[in-house]
Amino acid sequence: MTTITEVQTTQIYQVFIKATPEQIWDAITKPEFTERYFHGARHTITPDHYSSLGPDGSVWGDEDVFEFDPPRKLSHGWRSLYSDELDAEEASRVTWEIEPGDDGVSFLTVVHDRLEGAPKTAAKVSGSGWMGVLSGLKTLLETGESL
Amino acid sequence: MATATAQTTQVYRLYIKATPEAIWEAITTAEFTERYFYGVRIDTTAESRVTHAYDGSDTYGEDPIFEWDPPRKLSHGWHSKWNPELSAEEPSRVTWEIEPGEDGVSLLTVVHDQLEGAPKTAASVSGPGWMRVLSGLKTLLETGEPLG
Repeated sequence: MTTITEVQTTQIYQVFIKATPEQIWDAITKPEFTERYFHGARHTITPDHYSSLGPDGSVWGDEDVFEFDPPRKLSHGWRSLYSDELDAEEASRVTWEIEPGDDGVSFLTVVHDRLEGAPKTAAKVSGSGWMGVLSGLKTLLETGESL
Repeated sequence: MATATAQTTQVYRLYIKATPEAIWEAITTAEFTERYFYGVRIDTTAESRVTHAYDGSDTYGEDPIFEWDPPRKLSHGWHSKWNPELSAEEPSRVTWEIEPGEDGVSLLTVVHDQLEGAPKTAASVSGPGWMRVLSGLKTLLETGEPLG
């Protein structure tokens, strides 16, 4: 969710998913899930470290984890190592929050902020960038298939 | 969107594994809307958008159609007539755009704007408000079942 007039340095994306917080947490932190919806990247997120490997095994992300509170909140650094141009920008931050709801439907909020020093990254991930990822995550959890 | 007040132009996007025609039908036909739009039956034609009351006895009024271009673009007025406080505010505008993509996945963009005269409506629909609707629409089209 973002305005169309400018790329914001704090971006918020939200989606409701028919899945438990535990299932969503696994899908965010384990590579066998992320490769099916996150541009083919294999993410491994532990209390200490965020690692993202591209489909060819190259390092796409290698960042600190700021908060690791399964299955409710995860916050980690973000640099786009897959692109030389974006890689040169400053690190930003991505925070995932999962709220359980009625009928087994959870509410997922992703906040990508601290983008002041990364305008090209901000433009790259905005709008359909993050919503492409979250749409795929929802489809995978609800249907078992990739989007 | 970090501001405390809701924005007067709100943009929501979602990728859906469905054809533009299937999404168009789900947006404009009451049989579909009642399964994801807070249980409300909404019939949209080239002339008007009619929101039926829950008990079927009356309507929450008609909103005008500004653009009708199936299955790509629909723009209509918005007036929250089911709530007296919101109903007292000025009407706003909702525009749906559907872009076909590869592998049968379409990108749906909803823009709710012209909300300058409707701050309470803007707050009511923002964030989880619209995303509940769009999340339910996606679930219904991809699984055949309502979200919750």
